[in-house]
Amino acid sequence: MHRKTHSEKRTEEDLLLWTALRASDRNALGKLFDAYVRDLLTYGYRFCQDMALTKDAVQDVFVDLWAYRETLSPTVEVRFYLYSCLRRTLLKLLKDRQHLSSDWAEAEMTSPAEDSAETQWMESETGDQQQARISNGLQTLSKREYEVVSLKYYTGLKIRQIATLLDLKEQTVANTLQNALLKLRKHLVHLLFLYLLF
Amino acid sequence: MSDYLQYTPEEFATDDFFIHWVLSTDLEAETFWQNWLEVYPFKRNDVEIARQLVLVANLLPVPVVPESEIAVLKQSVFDRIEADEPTQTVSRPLFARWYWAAAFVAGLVSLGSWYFVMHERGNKAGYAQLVKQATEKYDLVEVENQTKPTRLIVLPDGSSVLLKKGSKLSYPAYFSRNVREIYLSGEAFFEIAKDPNRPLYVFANEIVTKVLGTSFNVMAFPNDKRIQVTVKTGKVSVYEAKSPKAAQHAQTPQLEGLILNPGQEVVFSKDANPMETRLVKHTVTPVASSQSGTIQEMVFEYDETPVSQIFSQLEKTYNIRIAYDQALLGNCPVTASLTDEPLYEKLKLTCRAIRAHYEIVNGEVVVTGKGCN
Repeated sequence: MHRKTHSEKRTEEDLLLWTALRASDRNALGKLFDAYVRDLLTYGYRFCQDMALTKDAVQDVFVDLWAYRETLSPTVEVRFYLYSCLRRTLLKLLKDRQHLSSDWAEAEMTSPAEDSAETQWMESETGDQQQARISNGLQTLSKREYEVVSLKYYTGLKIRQIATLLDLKEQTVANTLQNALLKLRKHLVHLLFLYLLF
Repeated sequence: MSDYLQYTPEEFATDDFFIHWVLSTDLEAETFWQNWLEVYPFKRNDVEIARQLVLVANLLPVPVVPESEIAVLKQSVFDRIEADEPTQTVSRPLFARWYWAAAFVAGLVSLGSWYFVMHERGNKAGYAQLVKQATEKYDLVEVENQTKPTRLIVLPDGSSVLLKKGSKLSYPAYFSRNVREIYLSGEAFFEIAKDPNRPLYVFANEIVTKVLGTSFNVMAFPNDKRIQVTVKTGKVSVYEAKSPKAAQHAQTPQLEGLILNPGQEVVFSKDANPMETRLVKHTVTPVASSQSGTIQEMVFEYDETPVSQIFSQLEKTYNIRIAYDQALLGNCPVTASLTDEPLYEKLKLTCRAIRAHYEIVNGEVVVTGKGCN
């Protein structure tokens, strides 16, 4: 019915690379790295607020991908697979470093959009002011809500995949998303105004 | 599609086709939603709220990671993969074939060579032959520059190469653990990222230039009998590949052979006995202006220099575009010594000095910052 979107083309390319990777083609690993490294770093950083840790985790993901290339399933949604490997790796690293309390997953996040000392955030054209407004809106989100919103609007994963990734029911993810959007909507008046500025 | 009628703004905002419409410029989606709104104008407000929600949600902050850090990350992945597979260690049989090997580099040094090997061995050491041999070891990427005065290439380790017109460069998609080997036909200027444990070899016809981290120029066109290596910064040692010590030189990360100081040029003469290679020294006058001359002569030393001046020098030198807010950032002063750094390091350090950051977007460098007042 409609033409191929960018992500559909990406999927076809991914599968070719995936097949090549399983046949021990290192170039294919390099290309998958190039295609996904930025998305993975962004997701990882949003998840743990620690760029050094995120880089370590991304490195582990690709090294493991190569190490286990022969046992990889021939049909996977590559994007989803990479995100879920990264999430698993991050949780493991966090646990190793004891940054992770047992009820971490349920904890309210402190402030996801706050700059950490070593990492700068990309700013949109409207700059600080808009960023501050968005941050305010985002700070009302719980950690889980923030992650779901991030996954839904940044990674392009389907609700079904997000549910699998977070080990939640689809309905729970959908509800979380709806709640998050309701919260964001309250801040929309300000945000809307800022959009109209440019 | 009639069920869209029942949708709340939040439900619209989570619908994939709706999100696709908001975030893309897809004509089909645009047509669908415009038509839909024509039919159901009372949903216009809800749709607008939903559209804003998607835009806001999509605007979650993205951390900035410079290209050079991505390159380093990629390299570490492949380093670890190789470390796990000891059978894959690199052997270097190629060196036995080198008649000349030249290398380690410091200051402005020029090294020219005639290749008398040609008569005896035909074109065995030519670029095509080298690349053919190298493909057995590496997944090579080849870049050719036929039209532009220079073309910028960034190697997997973050080193930058300015490939001149009529030249070709082949390099591995990722470097192996112990060695960086690249292959040149024609002329290029190199700024090599420092990595003392992993020397970089430029193979250009009979000449091998060995570096640990420095900047230099190699000129070796296929039909030109003269091969010239011009070094801008760093240290150079030169040795003959044919000599019994050549293989040894090639294997060690240390500086060996004939060591040259800045401002010296070496010429190998075709007619001279190889064992009595003539060494001609001459001083190259440093170019005072940072705005003229070729990159080999250029200095990137700044003392309270407005960043706009630095960016404009980088744009000209590397033939790139740098986009930034002139009014906001242009006058920010920078004090830095960047002559010996690859392009990405130059960008990173300059941006750090003005508390900005850069990204590569569609081949263009985009610098964002808050200004320095």
